[in-house]
Amino acid sequence: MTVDLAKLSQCLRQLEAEPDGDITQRGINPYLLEHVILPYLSGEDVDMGTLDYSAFSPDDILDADKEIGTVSNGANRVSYVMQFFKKAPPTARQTKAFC
Amino acid sequence: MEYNYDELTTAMDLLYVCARMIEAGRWTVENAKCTMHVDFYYDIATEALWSCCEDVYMDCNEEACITHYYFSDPCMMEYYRLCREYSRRRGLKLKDNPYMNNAKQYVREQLNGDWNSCYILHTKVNHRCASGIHFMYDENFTGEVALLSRLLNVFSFYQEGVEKLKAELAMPTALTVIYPTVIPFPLSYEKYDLEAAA
Repeated sequence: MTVDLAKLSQCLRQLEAEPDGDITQRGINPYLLEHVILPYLSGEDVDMGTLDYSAFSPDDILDADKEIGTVSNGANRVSYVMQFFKKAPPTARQTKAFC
Repeated sequence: MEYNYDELTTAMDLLYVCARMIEAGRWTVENAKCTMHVDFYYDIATEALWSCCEDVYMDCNEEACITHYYFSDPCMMEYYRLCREYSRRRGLKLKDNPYMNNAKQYVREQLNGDWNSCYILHTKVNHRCASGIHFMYDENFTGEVALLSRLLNVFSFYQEGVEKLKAELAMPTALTVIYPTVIPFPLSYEKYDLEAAA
């Protein structure tokens, strides 16, 4: 299988951007997003003893879990497709591209 | 930027445990002082189970790979003591007592349905921890966080139930409203000194 990256790039540019893949646009409790989720995803340690538990409820955590699951599924699907491109070996052009 | 979401939901379970325990008044923020990481999942979940009520006992049958927990709380004991008082005043058998049946139904809704666990609800009041929940699970059980959440719901139910029962028992029954003073047999109404009796 060969992949024409130029055509692929052109097709992708024509698609509309989907906000569903952006975790900051999923309606998650802002405090959880800023002080827990994004720091955790960035590799920082989150000390649960320093959080303000009046800023969110246990139900907010459950809602955030659902949204994270949706974004995670989307990220896994993209990662799966990317594997095909990573494994595809480059092929030489059959015609001259210059001169 | 590429994020790794794989462990995030498991780590968020730890935060959920802390939030539920703090909301229920079983923990303070100081108890939640721990790094949110999947490596601490089992430790935090187990510690929370040991703190979800006043009395917790645990035993493990290693040969059968069954873990036994017994959970009891004063609010549960008080609930069933008040149920008996309610039955006595209303002339009801315990099996016909709506508060007994509501509690049995609620506990069933919360704790039933997992293939790897089961429970027994004890409702006696003749000694400390006579009322309690005996919960058992096998080596395939992975619902510690869900169990904790449901146990907190159960004990919250009993706490609210105690208040409802106390309020209902404080209300005068129909008999005391219609017959405020009981005239002892065989005295007649004219001979009975109502003022002295009051």
